[in-house]
Amino acid sequence: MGETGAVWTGEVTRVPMLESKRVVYEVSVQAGILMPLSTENIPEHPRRLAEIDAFALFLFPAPFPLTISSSPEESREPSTASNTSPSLAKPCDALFEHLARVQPDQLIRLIRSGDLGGADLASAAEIAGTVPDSKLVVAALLPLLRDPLPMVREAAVCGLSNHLTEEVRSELARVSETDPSVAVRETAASVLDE
Amino acid sequence: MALILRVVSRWSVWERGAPNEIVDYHFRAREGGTDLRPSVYETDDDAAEILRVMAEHSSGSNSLTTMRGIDLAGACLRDPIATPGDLRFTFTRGRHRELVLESRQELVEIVRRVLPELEARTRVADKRAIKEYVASAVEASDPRVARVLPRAPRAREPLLGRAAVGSPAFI
Repeated sequence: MGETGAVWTGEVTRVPMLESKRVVYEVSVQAGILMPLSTENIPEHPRRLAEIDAFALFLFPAPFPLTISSSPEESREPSTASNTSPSLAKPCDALFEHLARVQPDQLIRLIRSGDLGGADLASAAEIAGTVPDSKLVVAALLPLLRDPLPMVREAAVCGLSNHLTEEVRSELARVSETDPSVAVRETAASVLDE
Repeated sequence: MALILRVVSRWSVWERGAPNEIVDYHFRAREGGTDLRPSVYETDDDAAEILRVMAEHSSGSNSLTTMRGIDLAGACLRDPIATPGDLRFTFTRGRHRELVLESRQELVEIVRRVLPELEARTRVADKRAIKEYVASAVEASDPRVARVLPRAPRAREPLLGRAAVGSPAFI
């Protein structure tokens, strides 16, 4: 990135909610907004590191100058991972929507990770339904039709409504007849009622 | 008396009746946390008007299913304020309101007050009725119908037919 100002290079050992990676950033925090400029203040704001960690992909769609390296040797300065707050930035619909558009495979990975709580998982599942790749979506959402939480099952039904393959129709027919929740049964029937 | 409708397209979390779960799922701020300015619609208790509001509201949904409106009238501590919202329909914009809340706890309390009367407070617009409303608007060559669409392209054509897709949005 060269001329864009003082560079901070940080190594974060885990990208929350996604997967373990080493991530090298060249960014700054100005008024709470990440900018691809100076980063000298970052070590003073460890919480910001967690936010960068979680939201880098959200804030900077590819080709954001974000380097993901697989070895610590690629870091150009000593690691500041110890400054990273253990608290994770919260997942949110804006992040899910962004991933659905830009990195749908990451959204699917997030859904499958087991890291999302009920409301977040339900919301992520529904948003995943907007991903055009039916194979990807169906593989991730079909198992959620058996989730213990009705809100997750219902969201999965809605997410699958744009991916009505024969397999999905068959599963939704089962749900519409046997799900313990009236609301989930009705939603499945409604989706099948074209 | 006017209704203060919170429109929801997912119902199971209300069915379970846990206020915190309902707030977590149905009052989410897009950027995370609780939405302390949730959208509602102030309408007469009139089936045609409610159907129109829900059909126009559903233009922001990813998939069309039966919609429900939960009447929050009498459960809120403050009157809602009139704001246009982000829909493009004049009718619905005129009925759009926001609750202005001080805390998540206030919202949880509203939900807690509503739950014992949930059935009486619920208005339903089923998917078929919404589709029929849209179809009648298409027949009337009403360009607003272009907005009464789920966003997913594959879901659009079965709902409206090719003629409506790509029609100019109505403001």
